Amino acid sequence: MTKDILGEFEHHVLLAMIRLEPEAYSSPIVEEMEAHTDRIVAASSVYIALRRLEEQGLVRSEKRPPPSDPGARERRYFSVTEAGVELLRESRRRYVSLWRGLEPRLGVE
Amino acid sequence: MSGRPAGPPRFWAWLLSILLDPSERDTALGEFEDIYEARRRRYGAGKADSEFRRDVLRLAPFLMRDRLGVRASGARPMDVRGGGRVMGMMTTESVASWRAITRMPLTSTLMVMVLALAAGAAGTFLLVADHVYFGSADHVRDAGTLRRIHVGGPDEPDAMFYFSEPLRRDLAERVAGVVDVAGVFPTRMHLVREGSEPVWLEGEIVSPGYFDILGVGLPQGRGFLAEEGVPGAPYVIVIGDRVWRRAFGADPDVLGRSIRLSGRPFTVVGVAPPDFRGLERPGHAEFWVPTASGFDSRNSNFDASGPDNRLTRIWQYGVARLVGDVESGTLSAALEETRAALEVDHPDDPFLRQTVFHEHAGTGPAPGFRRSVRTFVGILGGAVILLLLLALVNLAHLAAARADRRSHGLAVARALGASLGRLRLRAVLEALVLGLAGALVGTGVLRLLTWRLEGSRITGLGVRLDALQVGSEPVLWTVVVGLALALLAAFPGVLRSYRLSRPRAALAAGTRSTGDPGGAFALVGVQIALTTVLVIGAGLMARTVGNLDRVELGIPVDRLASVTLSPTAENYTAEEIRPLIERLEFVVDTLPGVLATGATWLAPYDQARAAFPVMAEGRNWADDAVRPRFDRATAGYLAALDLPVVEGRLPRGDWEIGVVLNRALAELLFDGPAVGRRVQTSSDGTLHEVLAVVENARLSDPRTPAEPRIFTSLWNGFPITSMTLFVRTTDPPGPLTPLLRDALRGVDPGLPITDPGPLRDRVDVLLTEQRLLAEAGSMFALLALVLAAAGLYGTLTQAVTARTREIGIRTTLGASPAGLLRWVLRRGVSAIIIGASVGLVLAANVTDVLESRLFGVHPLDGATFIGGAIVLLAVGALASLTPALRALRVDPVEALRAD
Repeated sequence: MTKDILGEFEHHVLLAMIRLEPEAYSSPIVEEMEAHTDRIVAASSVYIALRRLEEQGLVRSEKRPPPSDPGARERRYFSVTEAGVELLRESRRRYVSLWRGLEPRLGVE
Repeated sequence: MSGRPAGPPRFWAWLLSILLDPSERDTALGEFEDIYEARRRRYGAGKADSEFRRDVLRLAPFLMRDRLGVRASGARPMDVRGGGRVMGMMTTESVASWRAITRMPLTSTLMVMVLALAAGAAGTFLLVADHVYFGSADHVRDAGTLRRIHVGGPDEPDAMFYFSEPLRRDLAERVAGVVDVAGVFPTRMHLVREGSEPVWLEGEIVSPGYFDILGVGLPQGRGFLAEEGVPGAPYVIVIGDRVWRRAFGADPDVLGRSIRLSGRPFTVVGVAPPDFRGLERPGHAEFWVPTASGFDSRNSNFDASGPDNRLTRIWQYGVARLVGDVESGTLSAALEETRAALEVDHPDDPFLRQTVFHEHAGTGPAPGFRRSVRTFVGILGGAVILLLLLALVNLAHLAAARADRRSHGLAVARALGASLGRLRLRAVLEALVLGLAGALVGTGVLRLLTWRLEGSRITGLGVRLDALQVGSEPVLWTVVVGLALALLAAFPGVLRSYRLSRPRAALAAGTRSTGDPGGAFALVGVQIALTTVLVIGAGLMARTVGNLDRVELGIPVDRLASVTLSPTAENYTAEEIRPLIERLEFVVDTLPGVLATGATWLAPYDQARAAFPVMAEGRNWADDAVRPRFDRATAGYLAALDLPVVEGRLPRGDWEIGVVLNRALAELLFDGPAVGRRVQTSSDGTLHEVLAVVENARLSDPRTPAEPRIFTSLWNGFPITSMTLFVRTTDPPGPLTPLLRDALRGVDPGLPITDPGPLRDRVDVLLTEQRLLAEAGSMFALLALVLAAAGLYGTLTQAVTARTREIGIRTTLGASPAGLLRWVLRRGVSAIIIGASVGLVLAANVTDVLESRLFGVHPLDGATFIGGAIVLLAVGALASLTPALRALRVDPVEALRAD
């Protein structure tokens, strides 16, 4: 069973993850989110969000050492599932649809 | 710079590591460390640390739920079913309860402490009571048909000195088919091990039929055979489990191996079950030897087959098994029949006329202190019950205060739709968490109290608490008491504050309630009443201990030291003991600061006491013999005791002939002067001249008046294998103890010596019970006072806060400060007066249970009762003062503007 709507935070997590694939694990995800939102992102929130997204079948994960250094400590790498991508698209569509026509009023080009 | 190595704060990293699932631990920890490192580089260590802490705190509930299996892997959070759902609700509610508890740290800590003290005290009491009183000796078959038989005067039901072997045989023959009788003689033997001082082991010399009669099955080997009770039989022994483990390293092939006790080799024929420590409770026996080898090894001239030793004590008591379908009373009748028959056979025997058989229950505490143990356990139990009641009242009080403070929050929750069941569940969980915390701290209290008790003896009769085992049972009792108290205390609060209908809750949620604590005053009154009882009980015990410390014993007890010697059969023959003692007396006499040294058979203030018939010359032995305490001693002993001489001259040097009487006995036996007259001390007609009369002294027990007492020579009578050396010194004898030990070791390094030290220590052993009662009583009373004061203070403060507005109005309308003070104090003082009055009446009705333990003070002692009432009033007034002053400080303008 999957969700039919994404929260804002989960939306951010999924986007950051896709940007990083195939090197997406929690530490770079946090950094990526911070880089794009200009604020400190709680690592615990990301950790919990990733677990929940995985329980909902929106992401999948595997434990493995980094491809660049097979001898290093294992990390849990995440990738978005097809359901996740579909939900992202759906979320974007809703945002875009809601935004449509509002740009001039809100001073957005 | 901090000295901490780079990396997240260690405590928080450790906390995170234990919260994480083991399979994820390394990976997740590594990732959090990466994030920490990135933050440290970007924002600095301070920011990175605080973010890390925040992360761990945020993750904790999530990870805990994960670990508890609330969220099955792959399942969505809302998808859990059945056990998972209940578990989830319990977890959520537990976390909520924990938060509620930590939101009121002071009240919660108080509740936990009250619970811990009450549960710990109750656990300790149950442990002690079980140890000394309850239950039957383990492993004894069918304790209901087992009896102990003691022989003594009609008023000496627990005498332990006259049960001879011929008597046992007569009894067993005459009542055959009704009972089977074994004799028991508790004894001690020492185990010598290479390179260490001799260790005393307690055990029992028993008739061969002992194990069969008790029905104790031995896990290894066998009991004794009839032929092993006959003189000349090989030495055999049944060892206890502890000896088997310590001396033989739990050797499975121990049967047939040899153990040396008191210098003699015994062949092990059996091993007793682990918990079997003899018939008595608490039992201390660690070995059993049959008649002949046992007495032989004690250097005694015991001859079980001799015809004329009916008067010689051999057994301390008999243990009889009722055979077949015997009605109660049959044994007593059979015993009386036997005694009557024996009296016909032995018409001249005064012993038979003066004694009767006494029948007691087979297991449990020895009859001699059954009553005293019952009283001790009863008093302690009463105090513990009072404390539990007090704790309960206090807890109910605290719980009610919590419920009041939280009623607003609850009303809001209820109005918002929280189900009653859920709120109740939370209340119960809260009580359970508090109860568990209290119980955990309570086990600590249990441990502390048991440490305090270990090694003490209750009464001088030998109930030792050195074998207190804090196993799982006492801990369980403590936990159960803690939980039960917490739940009971929470119950009224649960009923009252959680019985909120939604509409009422909606109304209540709109205002902040600070209800006037009407019912709380009743609880305070109950607390004060219970406290009064405890304070008065403690006061009576404290006065008793004070009186006992001041009692005049009649001897210079603070300048006397004593040490018990037990020359072994292996190293000394009966004839060699006298030269040994004389040499020891001589050596000790030459120590600096020693004024006199002497030996006696049974030491004053020891458990063992002897009393034999004595009469004035020319009287009728069967009718006129009296039974004074018998002290067999050397001349040096009389010199050491320094008893004032009333008449005559004390014997000196090699005293062998003649006796010394104390004034009480001299007055009992003779009119006028006693010196020069003669007394008879046995039925054979031998006469002894009275050499001197000395002043009475309390030599048996500081609590009992001096008894008639006769002193005869240690060397006149049957050989003695254990004696106590007395030393009178110029100064308190504490520093002399090591010198004394060295001097004795100098004469014979292998000589078993016991309890060297000031005589005051022996006296104190007898007073342990009173001291323990006084100590426990004072502790309980102090605790009760603190609880009652806290209750009164809290309730009055609550009342003043609730009526701030009313006080404001009164002040505005011109109420004088004095009037206001009276108005507040009236409630506090009336609670104290009513509570204390009820307490005084209650105390007057219960203090008589203390009577047997009091000394020099009446159970209704006016001064103690008045003192108790004054203490309560003073503490109550102090507790009321601050809330009263607070009422005076109320600013009327503020008070009216508030709300």
